[in-house]
Amino acid sequence: MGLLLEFEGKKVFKEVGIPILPGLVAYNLQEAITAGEELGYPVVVKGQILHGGRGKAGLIKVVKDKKELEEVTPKILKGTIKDMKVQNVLIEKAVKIVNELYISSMFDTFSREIIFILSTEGGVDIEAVAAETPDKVKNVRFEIDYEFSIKDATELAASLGFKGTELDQLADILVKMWDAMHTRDIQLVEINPMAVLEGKKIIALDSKVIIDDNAIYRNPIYQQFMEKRIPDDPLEDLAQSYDVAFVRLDGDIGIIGNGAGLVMGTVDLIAEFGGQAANFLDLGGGANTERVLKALSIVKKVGESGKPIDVLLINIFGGITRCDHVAEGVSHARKELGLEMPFVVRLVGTKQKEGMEILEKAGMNAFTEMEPAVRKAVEIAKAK
Amino acid sequence: MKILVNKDTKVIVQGITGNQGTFHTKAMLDFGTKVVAGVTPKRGGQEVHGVPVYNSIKEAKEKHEIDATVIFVPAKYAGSALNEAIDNDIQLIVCITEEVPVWDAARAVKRAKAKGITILGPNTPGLVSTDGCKIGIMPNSIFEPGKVGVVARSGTLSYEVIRNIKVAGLGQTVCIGIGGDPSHGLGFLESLEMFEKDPNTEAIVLIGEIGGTEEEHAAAYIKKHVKKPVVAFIGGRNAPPGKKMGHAGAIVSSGKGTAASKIKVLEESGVSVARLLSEVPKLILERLK
Repeated sequence: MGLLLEFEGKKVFKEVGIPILPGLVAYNLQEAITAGEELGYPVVVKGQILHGGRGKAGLIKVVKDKKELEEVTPKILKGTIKDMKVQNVLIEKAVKIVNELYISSMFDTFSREIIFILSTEGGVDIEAVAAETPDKVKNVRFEIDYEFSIKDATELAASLGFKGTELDQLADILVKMWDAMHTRDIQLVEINPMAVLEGKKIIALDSKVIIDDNAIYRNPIYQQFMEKRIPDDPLEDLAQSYDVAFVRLDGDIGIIGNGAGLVMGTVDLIAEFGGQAANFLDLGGGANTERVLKALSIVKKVGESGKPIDVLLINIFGGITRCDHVAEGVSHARKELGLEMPFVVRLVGTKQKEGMEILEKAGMNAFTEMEPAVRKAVEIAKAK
Repeated sequence: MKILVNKDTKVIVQGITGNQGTFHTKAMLDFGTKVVAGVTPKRGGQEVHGVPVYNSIKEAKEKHEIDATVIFVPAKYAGSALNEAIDNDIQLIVCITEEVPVWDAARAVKRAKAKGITILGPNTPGLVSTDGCKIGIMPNSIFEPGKVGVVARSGTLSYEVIRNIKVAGLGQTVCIGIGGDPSHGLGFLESLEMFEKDPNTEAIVLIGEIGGTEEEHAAAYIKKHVKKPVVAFIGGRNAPPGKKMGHAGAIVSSGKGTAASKIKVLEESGVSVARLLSEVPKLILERLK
């Protein structure tokens, strides 16, 4: 999912003209000190992480001088939430907030509409607000090919009771959100809170932007963001460079398969039989011997950097993917990668016979049905 | 009447000269599909497995009657391939290409709907009518004419189920892959409607997965409009939240779109949900008694 970090989202806001506070990004303490001096204290130090609940986790702190900044910044830079790491910090000028609002626009892919949600209650969980005080939340849909205008935006903001300069600023922001979604491959913009400052100036205090992963190639700014990211799990990065879909799980049965659904189904079946998968790994369509070896090397690294892998399960339903190519990779893997755990292989489909022969020559055999293969793998893992 | 396609459906292949296009043109011809032409810009005049290649759909249309097109072009060009097919009024467009930008797909689907054109996909394995028409990449060997209609979000998971249905001796009428992307054309609802109306389909199998709300919409539709027995399987029961499981659409976010919630609403709508893929034929047989 193409979730952007807060500072990345705000760079997009800046480009499209959605107002934000002056701020600077720092990757280490020295850069943070420079940023503090440049912006002028007090400032807010905000840990940049792809996870909600930053405030509660102590990753957002207001500091009144350099001494405080030196105290909190290293701690925030080292912060984590679940398995996610803080990437860097955004230092912003601290300001007095008069009121907090909520605005979001979401591309509903099912109905092919953009849904705007606005509320006079910001900085809190919008779903709770909608449940408790529905009259404080406005929810309006427009078809994606509608020509959303400043008039529509003004009507929408006015319906929640906004007036005067606040109304004008909000309407302008809504139109900019609409345009940004259409021209920059964005699927969600959530601004919570949208802050009203002294003098009624409205700015985006936070940003949550989800972009389309498939469209990064045509948005240079997103490419820059991705290049600078520190991967939470280096293996996910490696898998991406090998062009296979990978997710680390926490069991002891390594999995390789072809097709996202089949691999998901394999993970489920392992659990159904009382075992635990170590990973999700989809080779994708038409994998050759080299890709199979690369995939196996990733699973090997899963075992080395986490719980050891007790058994390796390979589940192939050959369509575009050829069983002989997979078998070739599997038969070489032991020697080339030094994999010592038992393998359980299931092969069916294109070039099945040839694949089986290759495995036999290497002293291995394969199942043709999925359930017995998975059951066998779970048995081996349990016996360990 | 057959659903969407039949053995006489005339198909063209956009991107026929690429590896995938060439490989699957052969497999479609082997299945019995009437592949009448291929399209690749600047490659007009060539032949692929005996199928003539044209520079554009417009050129192909001058020489052939065309009912459907299948798209194998790279993701960057899929949007314009979709638009070319829409502009030429091809009534059924099957987009195999993966990783198509969501906005490109959504805009194309919107345009197609306005003209009464059906888009299947993107990121679909295509569809098969067992009377002799395959448009897409599903393996030829798993089909046999019979009485079960299959509609699925995932390709390989559906192959497994379709094969089990064949092995159990039930056979299939039509198998439809709607695609693993969050923004696709034809969905569960339209497919269910067609299966319900199709006199040859006696039971329906729905294969869903985590993420999105399409299974929930399907459940509500089934409850109201579907009299035929429906058996479902939902992939991703053990997926960690927030992680994309291969398919762009397969992601559980903030507790929504989980397998458990989908299974619950399906069961409440009278659908038999299999826990194991191998249970699907058994459940169909039980429901057909």
